[in-house]
Amino acid sequence: MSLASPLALLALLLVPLVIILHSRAVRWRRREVSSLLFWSEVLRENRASMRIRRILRNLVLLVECLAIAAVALALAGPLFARRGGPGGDVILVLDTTASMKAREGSRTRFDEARGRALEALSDLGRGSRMLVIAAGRTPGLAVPFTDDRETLRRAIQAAQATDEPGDLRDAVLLALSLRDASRGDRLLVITDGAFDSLGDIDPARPWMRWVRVGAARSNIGITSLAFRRTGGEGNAAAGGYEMFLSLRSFSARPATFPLTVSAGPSVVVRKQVTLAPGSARGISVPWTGPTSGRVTAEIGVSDDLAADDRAFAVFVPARGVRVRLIGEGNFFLETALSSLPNLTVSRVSAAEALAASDGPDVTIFDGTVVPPLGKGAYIVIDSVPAGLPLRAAGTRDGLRVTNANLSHPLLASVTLEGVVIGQALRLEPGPGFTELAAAGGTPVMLAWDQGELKLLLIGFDVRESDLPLRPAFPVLLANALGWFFPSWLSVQAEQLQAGAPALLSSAAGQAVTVTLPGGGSRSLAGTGQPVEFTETSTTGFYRVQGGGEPREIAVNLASPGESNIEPRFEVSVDGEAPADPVDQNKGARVPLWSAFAVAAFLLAAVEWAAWLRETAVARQGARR
Amino acid sequence: MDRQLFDRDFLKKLEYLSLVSRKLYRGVAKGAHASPLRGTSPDFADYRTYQPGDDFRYIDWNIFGRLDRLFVKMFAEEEDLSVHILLDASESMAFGTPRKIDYARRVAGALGFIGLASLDRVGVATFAAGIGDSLAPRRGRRQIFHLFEYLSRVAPSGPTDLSRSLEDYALRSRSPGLAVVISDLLDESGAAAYRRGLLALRYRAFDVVLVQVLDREEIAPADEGMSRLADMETGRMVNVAVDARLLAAYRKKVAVFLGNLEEFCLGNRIEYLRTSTVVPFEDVVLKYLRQGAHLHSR
Repeated sequence: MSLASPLALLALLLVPLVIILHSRAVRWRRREVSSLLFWSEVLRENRASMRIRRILRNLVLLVECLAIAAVALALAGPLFARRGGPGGDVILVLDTTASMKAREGSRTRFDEARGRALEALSDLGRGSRMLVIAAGRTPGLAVPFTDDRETLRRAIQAAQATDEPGDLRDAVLLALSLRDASRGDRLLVITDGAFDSLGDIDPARPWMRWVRVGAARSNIGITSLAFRRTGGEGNAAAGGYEMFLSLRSFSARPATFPLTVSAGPSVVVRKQVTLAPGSARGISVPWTGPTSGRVTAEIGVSDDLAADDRAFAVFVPARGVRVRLIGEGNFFLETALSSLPNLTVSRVSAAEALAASDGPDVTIFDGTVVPPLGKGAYIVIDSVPAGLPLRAAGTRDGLRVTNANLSHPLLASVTLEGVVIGQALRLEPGPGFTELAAAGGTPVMLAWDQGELKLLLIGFDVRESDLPLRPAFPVLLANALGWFFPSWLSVQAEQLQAGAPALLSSAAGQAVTVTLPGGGSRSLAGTGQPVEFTETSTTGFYRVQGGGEPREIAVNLASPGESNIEPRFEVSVDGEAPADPVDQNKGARVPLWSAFAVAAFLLAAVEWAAWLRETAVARQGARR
Repeated sequence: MDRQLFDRDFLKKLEYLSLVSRKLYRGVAKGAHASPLRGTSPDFADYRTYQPGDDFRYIDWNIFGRLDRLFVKMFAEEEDLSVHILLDASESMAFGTPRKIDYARRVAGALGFIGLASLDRVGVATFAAGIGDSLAPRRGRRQIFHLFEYLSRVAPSGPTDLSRSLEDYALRSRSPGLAVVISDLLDESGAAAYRRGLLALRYRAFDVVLVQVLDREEIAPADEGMSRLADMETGRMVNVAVDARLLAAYRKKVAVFLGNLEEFCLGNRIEYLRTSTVVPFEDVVLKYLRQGAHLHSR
């Protein structure tokens, strides 16, 4: 039991006041007696109990005192914290996003959240169970339903905030899906409220309790770091890169601070930056540093969240691509491929391809039967691959390309308008295919990008069209290779958002070891297929060894929404004004003020009836 | 004169009653009462059971013949009797419905009438804190109007001091006789007051008849509630939340008081009659006083 407005209990001071007024204003009925001889003796012998009985006997006074007490309690807003019984479990959603790392004095918000969670655990009713959900980028089940207090306590104490951005909605949805309404399960969400909304979730349900930690704080952060080429296509080593950096202030005061961008040990950019309160600024500077290895951007600010004060990127060098061409031989195709740089092309027959043990980066099926395709990159010409939602319903002759999807990266700078096709397959693509070009109402060029399979399908024999004679043909092939491998021709400043999974190449039987930014390491079993590494919850550089050349992964917060650590989520209850956005103490506690108000009303009615009775008795006495 | 005190029917009934004192006193003049000295003109007074040694001449053989039991006829020489009526006129006697003083005045008037009709000497004195106005003892039926006029002037006032009043009267009286004390006996001093007063009369050889007049509300009050009780005599007030429990305690107190009084009277040969104002006055005189030893039909 707790009180929303304890000061209202001062109204109880009216009780002694009413007693005093009653004792002074009590209507003594004067009665003359012939002598007090007997009364004096009676009163002397009963003096001790007379005063108490006089008060207790006065029903009006008693009822008035009770009514005042009821009103005072109603005004105080008593809240009854429902303890979970054997049928009511608690689902604890613990916000672990980056904003929970914001400092609150000597502690972080998450430290406070952990304390609140432990309090909730100590309040857990006998027989009730608790389930803990860590709400990061993706909600995770920290502890399944258990009534083992020690297990829960250890799990809560071991929980840590991450550098991940997150959407609490997903965690709450997961909690709702786990809630058993028939058992009276309750949700306890401990968060800093540093998000805008929960979408269509009603947070003001009576069985949901919101506990807010943290207060308004200031923060300035790097919200993005990117590099782009400005020229010198195909000549990455010669430079031609531009760095783009976004900064944003979530502070109420203007700030001037130094910005430093380093490539390895060398400082490439150093400048003073001034940000107005609540403003954002993009900084674009020509990149004069090396295009290999680590890049670290850092701002020298003293704010309450450190996770976004630094951003990281890793330049990945241009890579060569191995192309295997399967078919009878195609002069135009082979010529076009030979004109492209950084390629190794090998032409084999279909039988030879099946016997080959090593896998190329790109496989081109030119007019041959295409088996079911696994992971990888493929170009299929004048054929239909098995295993995909696509069929060829015959052929059509004498077509001319009329439509082309120029927004697709495969057709960037490619002009297919007016390409004449002698004969093309009548393609009927299913869901998942993207139409790139059509002729006579029939798609003649399709793209597939699902899972780890990328496919460019050309639905006609290029030799029976004028496409190979146009400049668009080699450009189309180059676009396809660039689509398959972004780092084919240029270096890439790769990075991940914290919490996003990283796909790592692996070799069968060879472990992939990832060294974390904090120094620890994780090992993954190699399967020959790319493996998923998910422990990217901390910003910084991750070093990957095994499954090929050693490489590095840069992980950033890169989330303006998470950098805004201002609590702003509001919970409105029953349409009332959201006085306290995220209720710190009340939550699912049951308000009892209405019960006390009803009691006060009933007592007032009883008091009225008692007064009427007393008045009637007094009148009868006066008549006698 | 207060004509309402006695109506005609009531006076007629009183004509047939005579006042007889249990003791025989020597009167100043011949009257209608037996003298302890049996004289030459004895009148039949009463029967009593034969005791060994009694004079056979006074045995009533007619009764023996009918009842087969021996009774002795008693004769007494008639003498006059001094009747002292002491009427409580304190403020507390104004209490009740009807007022106790009205009730008491009727009793006093009736007894005085009977005494005067029997040629007794009748005197009346009122008392409260002390002996107040008094009507000197007188004899003869013609004094009845003086008696009634005197009684009609009696107005209750002042506190009660029973011991002082009765002691004073006992010392002052020159001819003790029958003392009829009519009072509510409600004295702040409690039982000690009436004990001293009544004993003083007894020591002065008064034959005492005590008539206690109480109102029903004094014996068994029933009103509950927040009451400010005001003493009519002293003006003292107390606030009392009267409830059933207190009323029961009060009734118990009254019962103890009356029980002690009754016991005291019995032990001191005082004729004690208690009446309430709700009892019809005529019944009190005709029935209650008749049960005593002082009245006999002619």
